[in-house]
Amino acid sequence: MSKLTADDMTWLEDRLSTLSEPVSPRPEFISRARDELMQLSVAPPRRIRSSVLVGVIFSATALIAAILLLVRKRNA
Amino acid sequence: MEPAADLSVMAAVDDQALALRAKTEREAFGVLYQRHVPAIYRYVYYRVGNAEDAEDITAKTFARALKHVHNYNDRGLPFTAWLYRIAHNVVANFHRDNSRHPSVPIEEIELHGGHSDDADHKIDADQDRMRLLRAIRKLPDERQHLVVLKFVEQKQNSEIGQIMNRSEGAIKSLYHRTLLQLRELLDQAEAQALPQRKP
Repeated sequence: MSKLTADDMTWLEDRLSTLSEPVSPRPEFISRARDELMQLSVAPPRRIRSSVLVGVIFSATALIAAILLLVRKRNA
Repeated sequence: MEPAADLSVMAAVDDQALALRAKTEREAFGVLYQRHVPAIYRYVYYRVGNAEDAEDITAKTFARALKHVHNYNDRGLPFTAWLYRIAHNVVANFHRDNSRHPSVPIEEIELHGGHSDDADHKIDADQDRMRLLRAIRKLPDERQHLVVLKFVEQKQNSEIGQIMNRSEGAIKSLYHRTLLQLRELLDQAEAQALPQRKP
């Protein structure tokens, strides 16, 4: 891959700076989307998720411990 | 506080404080929406190439932000950076769902060039810009993300780093590689265009 000279960078950045021309959403869209947002029903955060996660981790740890114990007993 | 008084008061409140209030007050989120919808729309528009999809994705971005605003924590990440991350993910989903990239031909992008008395000059400038936009669309997703944030949204490298969850140094490096690839893409495009110009 060839290198980028300072002139190349200036040339590219000049071209890219033409992208900054304004693009605006339609006012009808802004107000319609706002109304929809204001009416959107959002479920409250589920606190149960963290307790479920703790339960899963605990169960997995217990299972692994039980398997290890069984393997040890079997080998003894 | 009364709702009517609330709106005028909230207009002066900074993003972070509003985002914290938005966890329990829908109107606070409405103020954030009014404040940032033009920038998010502009970002999305340059990523998808047409107004219809840009409106749809902008609406989805804010709906997702509202749904997850309770997860937003003011730990050095500006609210705008958080919003751009959501917009970027929604755009990525859009491209994936459409299973092609870009979903809309770049020719459909409306050009908003400045008014010029010289019509030929304007056509040349528009074609030049079209070629540039087409080349940008061929860049990998994260490089397009960077170009739009830097040149459309006029963000500094530090802000882009926050949005893209990378260090400023990593952004500088990515920017350099992006320009290099862009130059190659433009060179290829110009090489392909040259034979067509011959009579």
